Amino acid sequence: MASTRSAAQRKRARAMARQARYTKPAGPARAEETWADEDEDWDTDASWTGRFPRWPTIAGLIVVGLGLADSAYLTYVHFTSVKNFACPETGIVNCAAVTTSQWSHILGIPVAILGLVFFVGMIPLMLPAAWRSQNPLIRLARLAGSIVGVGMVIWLVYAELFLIRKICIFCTGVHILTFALFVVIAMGTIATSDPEAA
Amino acid sequence: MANTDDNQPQRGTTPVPPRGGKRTPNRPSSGGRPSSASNRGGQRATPTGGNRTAQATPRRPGAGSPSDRRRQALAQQRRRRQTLLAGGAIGLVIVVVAVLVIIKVTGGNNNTTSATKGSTNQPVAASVINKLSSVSTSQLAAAANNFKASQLTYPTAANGAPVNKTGKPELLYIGAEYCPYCATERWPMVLALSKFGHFSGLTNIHSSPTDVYASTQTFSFYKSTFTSQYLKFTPVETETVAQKPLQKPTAAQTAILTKYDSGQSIPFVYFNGKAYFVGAQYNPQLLHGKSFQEIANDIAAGKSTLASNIYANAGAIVSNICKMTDGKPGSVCKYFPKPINS
Repeated sequence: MASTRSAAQRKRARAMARQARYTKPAGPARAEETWADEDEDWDTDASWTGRFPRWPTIAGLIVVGLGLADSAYLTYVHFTSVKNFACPETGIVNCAAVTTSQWSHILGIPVAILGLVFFVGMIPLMLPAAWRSQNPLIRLARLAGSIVGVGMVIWLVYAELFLIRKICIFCTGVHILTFALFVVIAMGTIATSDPEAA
Repeated sequence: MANTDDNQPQRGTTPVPPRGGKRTPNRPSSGGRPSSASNRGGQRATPTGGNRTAQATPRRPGAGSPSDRRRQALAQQRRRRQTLLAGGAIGLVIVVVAVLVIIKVTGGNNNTTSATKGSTNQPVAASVINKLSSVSTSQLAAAANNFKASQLTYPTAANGAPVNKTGKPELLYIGAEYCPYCATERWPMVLALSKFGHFSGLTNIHSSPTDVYASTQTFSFYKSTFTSQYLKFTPVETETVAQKPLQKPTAAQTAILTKYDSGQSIPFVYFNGKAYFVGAQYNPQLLHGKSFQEIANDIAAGKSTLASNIYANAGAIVSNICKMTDGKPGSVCKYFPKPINS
C-alpha cells in the first residue's frame, strides 16, 4: 500500500512528522486541556447547583434558629419561674399549666431541655456541607432526628389536648417548627440525594 | 505499509475538533456526575488520533444512549417513590394531628379524669403525721434562720385585729383544694402546727391536674380537726379539686382577707392580727412529680432542698404562732425569741 502513495502524500507525511517532533501537538493537547478544565467545572458549584439546591440549608437554618430561640425561652422559664411567662392564661391557653404538668418531663428530663438539645443537634446537620454529603450516616441521622422530633410532637399535642387540657402557645410554636423541620428534611433529603446512587 | 495519514477522518468516528476548539461533552441532562474519577480517567481521550476521537464520545455518556435513558428512568422512578414516601409521611402527621384536634373539639372535652371529678380525699396514715412530727423544732429554727429573705418569702408583720377576741388566739387559713400554691403551703403548715397540737381527719389530695404545678400532692384541711391547748386553727377550703364550691368564709373572715389581700389571692394565712402571708412561701416546683409518701419521706430525712425549704418555712410559721401565743409553749418558742418575718 505504501508503494501506492504519491510523492506529494509522502512529502506531506514527512512534514507533519517533523512538525510533530519540534512543536507542541496543539490539537490533542488543547482537547485534553479542555476536558481537564471541564472536569474541574464538574465539581464546582456551578455543576452542583442543580443537585444541591440551597433551599434546604436556608429553610433548615431559619427553622432551627426559630426553634432554638423558642425552646431556649421555654428552658429559661423552666429554670426560673413560670411567672416569667409572657403567655395569657385565658380559657384553654395556659403555658404554665402545661410546662409544670407531670407530662413536662420525660425520663426525668424536662421536655424544654429535650427541645433545646434537638435544635442544637440539628444545626450542624443543616449546614451546606452536611446537605452536600452523601454519607448515609449523616443523612440517616438527620432524617431519624426529624422523625423522632415529629413523633414527640404528636405525643405532646395529645398530652396537651387530652391529659393536661391546656395549650401552651410557646410549646405549640416549637411543635410547628419541628414539623416544618421535618418537611424541610424530608423534601431536602430527596432533593439532595444522588439520583444515580443504588 | 499501511496508510498512516491520521488527518483523514475515519468513517464512523467523531471528527477531530478544530485546533483549540472546545469540545462539548454530552453531560447528562440531570446533571449526573460520573460515579468515580477513575471512570472519568478511563474515558479520557488518548493522544493517538484515531482512538482519541473514537473514545471521546462514550467518555461523557450522552442522554441519548439506551443505558443512560434506562439509568435516568430508574433515577426518576426512585425519586418519584421517595417523594411519594415523604409526602405520605408529611400527610400522615397532618392527619394524625387533625384527628386529635377534631376529637378534642367534638367531644374530647367531656372526658374527665377521676382527679378532676372531685376531691380524691384519702385519709392520711398516722405514720405520715408521725414522720412530720419527728422533725425537731431546733431543726426548723436553724433552717428558718439560715435562709435569707431573698430565698424564701416569710410572713409579713401586722398590727391588726384578732380574729377571736376571746379565748385562744386563732390562726386563720383560707385556701382551696384545687390551688397548687395552697397545696405547697399545707406541708409546712402541718409541720409547724404539729408543734402546738394534734391533727386528725387530714386527707391526702392533689391540686388541680389542669392548673400550674398540676396534681401537687398535699393534705386537705377540709373536715380535719386540730386540737391544741395554745391556739385555735380555722381552715377554710373554699373549693374542691374540681373547683366546685366547698366552704364559704364568714363575713369576718372575708373582711380580713380583703383588708390584707385586696386581690383575695390564696392561700391566705392570718396570725390573729400579728402577721399574715399570701401565696406559697417556697417554690412549688420542688414538690413536682413527687408522690405524697416521697414528700413525707424527704421531710423526715431532712437532706433535700425540698426539706430545707419546708423546714425554713415551717420555722417562720412557728415563730409567728409563738408571737400569737405569747411564747407558749416554751419548749417550742424558746427557739424563736422573735418572729421571723420578711
